[in-house]
Amino acid sequence: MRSPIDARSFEWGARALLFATVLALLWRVWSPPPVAGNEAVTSDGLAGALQRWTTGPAPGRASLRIERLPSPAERDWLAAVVRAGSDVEWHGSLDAIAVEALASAEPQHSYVIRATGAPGSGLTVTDGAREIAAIEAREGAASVRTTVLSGPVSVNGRVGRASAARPRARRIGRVAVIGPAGWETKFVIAALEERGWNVESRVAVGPAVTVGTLRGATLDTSRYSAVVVVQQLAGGSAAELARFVRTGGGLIATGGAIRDRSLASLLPARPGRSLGARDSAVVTREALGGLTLAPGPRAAVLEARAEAPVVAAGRVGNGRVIVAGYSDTWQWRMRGDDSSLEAHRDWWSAVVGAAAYAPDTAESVHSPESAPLAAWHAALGPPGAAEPLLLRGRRLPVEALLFALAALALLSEIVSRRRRSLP
Amino acid sequence: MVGLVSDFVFCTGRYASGDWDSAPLVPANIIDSVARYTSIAVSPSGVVASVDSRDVLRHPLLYMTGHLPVRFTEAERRMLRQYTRRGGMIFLDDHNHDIGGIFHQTATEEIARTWTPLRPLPNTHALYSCFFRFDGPPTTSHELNGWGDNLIHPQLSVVYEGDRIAVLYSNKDYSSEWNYHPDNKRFLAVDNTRFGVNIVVYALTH
Repeated sequence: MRSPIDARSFEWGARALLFATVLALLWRVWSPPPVAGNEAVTSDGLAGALQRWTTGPAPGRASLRIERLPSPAERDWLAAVVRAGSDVEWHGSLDAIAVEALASAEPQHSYVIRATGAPGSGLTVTDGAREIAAIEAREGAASVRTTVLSGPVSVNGRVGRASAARPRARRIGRVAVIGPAGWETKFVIAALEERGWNVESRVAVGPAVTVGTLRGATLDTSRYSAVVVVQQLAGGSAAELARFVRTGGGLIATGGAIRDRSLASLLPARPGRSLGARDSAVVTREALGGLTLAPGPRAAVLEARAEAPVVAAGRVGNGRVIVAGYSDTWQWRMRGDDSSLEAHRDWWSAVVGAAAYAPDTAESVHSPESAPLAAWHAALGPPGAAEPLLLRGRRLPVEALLFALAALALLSEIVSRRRRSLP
Repeated sequence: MVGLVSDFVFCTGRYASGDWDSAPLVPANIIDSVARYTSIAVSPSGVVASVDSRDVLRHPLLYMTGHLPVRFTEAERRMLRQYTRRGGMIFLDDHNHDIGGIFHQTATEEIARTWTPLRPLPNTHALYSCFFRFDGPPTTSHELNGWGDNLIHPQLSVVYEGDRIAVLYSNKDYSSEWNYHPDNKRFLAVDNTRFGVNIVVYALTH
């Protein structure tokens, strides 16, 4: 059993400890935070830490655990702290998110927005005025086409946001369609006009009779972006067409044009064997008849049926040439399912857009915000190899330790006094 | 021919009510004229397709006529709407050639019910100049003799799909005017089926 003198000494010691811890707590409250040395921060505390490290002494070493991508301002601010001498190491597993906005050569889908995100994750595409689309990044990527863009494009995902400047629209000229009077010519013209192309046509209806608005105009890239030929050409037209293509114009040959000997030197593929149409109540593009193609050595096959090419593309001079072996795509539009009308328009517009002369009106604009994870890596380097122990669990603050110590000292003193029967 | 575009096939529409086959010689006569005056690859014989079946979608120009009251079934209306929306054109001719006749009354009601009310077609429209030149719809002998109403109908009527004619309606009775064997054209000073060629050329180019 302790003597009363020992007990009093113990109580004085407990009082002194209590007094010291209360003083320490008060000092912690009113004094500037001690920032020198090591510090650990999470995504939620990053904004406050950056302010602290800027208005007070910066840490010698900091560990950052992030669950989402910091904003561009926080990223640049942190990079500045690193350049000022702090050693910042980051940890966290983040999915990439990125966006690219391109001006296309199609009038009604003037812009193509490509986005990447975690496979299967949802992404919201917006511009300065509206939500353009909510898409799923199947296999990590997705794309959206739109006619109008107001301001920069943003893609928002679970881990953050990427944005890209609006590209300048490309200059798109007219499309000339030359063909015989028939359903294929009619519906090629209709599909392109319905997709916003300015079409001029020359349709042969009699031995020396043509109808349409393409009359005597010279084919050049200042006026025309592409020419669609659905028939064999009259003498002299092939030479003009060759000049047009070599200077950058686009040529799409289909129907009788595939067998036109005067065009053979321009076409990236020769006609192959006949391709019978599959007769069914509902016609799909895969069921269309026509010709298979024998692509030349530098041709790119765009579509194939049972490994037989039916659409091929190639370059001639500065221009591009596409050969489409389908003979009656109008059947797909008229006799397809409910989506075939739109699909027929889209397909023809995409084919012409792929070949069309449509120069960029300005240099593309790239910004770090279009790929924020890449920009984060560029600014902060790769993540740290191992997460520090301090970041793994919740950190016990010093204030809590001091409070526990003060409470223990007070309790000890009370117990000691009670044991001596003092109040 | 495989590998080239398909031929034009003249198609007559069969509907459930009325007498859709009242002018059986018109198809052969128009086919003859198209082959005679144009370079259009045309099938030598026409076909008949029910307007409530998907068969009609094989032929983007459809000729319909009759004398009797016309009442489309719901399936016919649905298919005809789909037909014109996808790009088909219908030429519907009143075989009665009279104003206020029963075909005219019921056909115009059905057109309004299926699409929109008819609008007059300007006589300067491309239909009148896309192959042969006309100052408006050519008159028919039935408009001027005792069989008809002795009135010249100055304009045809249409339903537009965008700026394209989707339904061309005539109460000039071309079905009577053109309903004769093509061999008998040699007895005419001027071939009266030339306007039929314009209808085909317009349908194939617009």
